[in-house]
Amino acid sequence: MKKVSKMKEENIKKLLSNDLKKISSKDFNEEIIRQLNLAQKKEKRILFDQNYIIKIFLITSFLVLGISLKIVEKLTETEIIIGLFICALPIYFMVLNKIYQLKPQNFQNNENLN
Amino acid sequence: MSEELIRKARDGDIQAINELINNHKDLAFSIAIKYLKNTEDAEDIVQNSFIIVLKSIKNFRNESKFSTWLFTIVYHECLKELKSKHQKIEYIPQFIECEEEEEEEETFVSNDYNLDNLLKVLKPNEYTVITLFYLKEKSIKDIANITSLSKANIKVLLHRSRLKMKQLVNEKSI
Repeated sequence: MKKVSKMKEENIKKLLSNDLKKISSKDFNEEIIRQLNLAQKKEKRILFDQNYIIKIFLITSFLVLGISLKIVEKLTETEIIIGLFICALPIYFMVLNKIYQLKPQNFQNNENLN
Repeated sequence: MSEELIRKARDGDIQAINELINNHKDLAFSIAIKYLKNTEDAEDIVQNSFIIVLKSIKNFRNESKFSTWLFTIVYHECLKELKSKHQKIEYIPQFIECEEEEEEEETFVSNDYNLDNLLKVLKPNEYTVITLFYLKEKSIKDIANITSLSKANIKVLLHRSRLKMKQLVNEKSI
């Protein structure tokens, strides 16, 4: 028992790790990933560049609103609602983008069906 | 670090998943091959075990918990495979004879062992326990969870395997 306790842990670890058998299959990891359907996530595509949408729409909508406020002195309720709707447009695109990211396989399936 | 790796793998980071697989595949394969004595079967068992564990990766917070569950699956899948093989070959007397001879060989401790075949002398359960204890630094409690063996039994297996290793490499000044 004493002899065994003297056996250094590092030596045991070294011995055991030297004895480990290596997996011969080269595509062992890839096969697991393929079966997990993660390959699709790797190539996650996006419909629109979010930052680009925000910039473009914010600039244009505020320009439109600013100009209309300058030119047309008195805005009606409907015009204000339409203006706000235009300002909020990027949000709809961002939501659409998120949905597309979450369920890419649905879109791909649709493409395949077509 | 291990939490970060698990988090990345959970998010579908291929690199993190590869790292997780690489961290554990050799030991899982070594344990499987020790039980099954067949490379292809061992590879299949390990691959399936990884798939099972990675599908439920959201349930783990760190790599330690992940590996504990992975080795639990590997261990039990090996036993299941062995059981099904035994059922299949039960009625072939020729095979049973060969198997008995093999068992005798395994328990026989020769004096001319070298470092290359050192670990051949360890029985599958001894090998599983000692590798999990030293290489994966699992506690007795964790090993008990993995193997469903009692803590006392694991301590005995650990002691026995250490003793065997000591006996075999005594002359090599371990």
